[in-house]
Amino acid sequence: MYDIIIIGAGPAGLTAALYALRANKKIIIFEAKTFGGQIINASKIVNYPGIEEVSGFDYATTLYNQVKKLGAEIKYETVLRVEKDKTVITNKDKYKAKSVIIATGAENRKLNIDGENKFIGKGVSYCATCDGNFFKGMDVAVVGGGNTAIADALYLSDIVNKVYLIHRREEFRGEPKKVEELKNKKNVELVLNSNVVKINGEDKVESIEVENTSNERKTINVSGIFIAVGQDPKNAIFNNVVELNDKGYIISEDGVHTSTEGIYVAGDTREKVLRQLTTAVSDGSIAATIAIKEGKDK
Amino acid sequence: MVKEIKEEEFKGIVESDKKVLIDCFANWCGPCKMLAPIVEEISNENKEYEFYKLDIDTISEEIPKEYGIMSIPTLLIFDKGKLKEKVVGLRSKQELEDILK
Repeated sequence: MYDIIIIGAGPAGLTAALYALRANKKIIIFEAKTFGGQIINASKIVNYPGIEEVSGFDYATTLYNQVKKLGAEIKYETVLRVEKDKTVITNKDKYKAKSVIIATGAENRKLNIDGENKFIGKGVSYCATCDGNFFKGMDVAVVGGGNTAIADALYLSDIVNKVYLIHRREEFRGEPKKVEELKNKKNVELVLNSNVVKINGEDKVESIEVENTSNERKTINVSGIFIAVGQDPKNAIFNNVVELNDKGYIISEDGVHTSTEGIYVAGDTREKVLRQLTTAVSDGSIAATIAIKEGKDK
Repeated sequence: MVKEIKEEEFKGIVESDKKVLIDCFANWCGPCKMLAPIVEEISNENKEYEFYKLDIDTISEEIPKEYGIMSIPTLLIFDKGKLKEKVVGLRSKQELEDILK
């Protein structure tokens, strides 16, 4: 019997572990892939108070080691189900705890169109700064209208031959200054009021099909398509114990409790205003503190 | 152990009659850094394969073009000189072990 089971070893989950271990609680952390969560993709973190600059990898590794030093038990198992009585079922075993903290984060949202999965790593990318260099001198598309899509298009415009920025609306949600900068780029073409409906190719991306709001279709020849349309949580497996909003995020009125007593939520996976490293670690520390407090009487 | 190789060594290694895994990475790539210790661990346990790594920032465009590398980390898995599998992106140890089986 554990005091707390933490699901997810990103910044929120690891911070919850840090607080629980410092309070001498018996915990276990489950992680399906590798520790660190989305922050490992950040080449530079420059907005974490008190740390001028750190790479996402270094930050995640330091936090992981900090938690390991306190004796954290981390199991690389995939959680399949959580029961109301705080039993957690993984692909390997069954575990029981007084409390459960769900900190499963979010992942890149997919367009869910034909060809997308088939061509991941073969022209379909969710990280312009990671993969941009492989497209030197080629034509590429960026999909999205937020800050990430705009930053991706600007970054790529210095590497590739031409960037098509495809956005489903007329207006951009991103910073106006950056949008202006983008409009002044000679090798960036804006394709507005349009959705990508299909990705074509033999064994790598060769073209995309774009449909505008008047249902007119056209084919654009590109070697790469960078998708930056936001994040999605992966909470469907928890819908028996927690309430989800229409986008799949866990609803929590106070940002800690879920609809089941003794099951808490922390980090990007809950409905919230700002998804940042600062808010993830904040959530983790609060969730652990409340779980400890409320678990005492059990 | 995972041995780092240079571009010039690549052809000789993949065209040998052995089973070979090459981890294509870059020093600035977070997911690559997460994957590296996993590949290292597997290399110490798996005697069937030879394990190498290749820093993509030190090579020309030839290898990426020939093998369609468009994202890192990419693991190239060869069997007797033939590309058997291309694994793109971060994977857990279990996933990689299953792929190598």
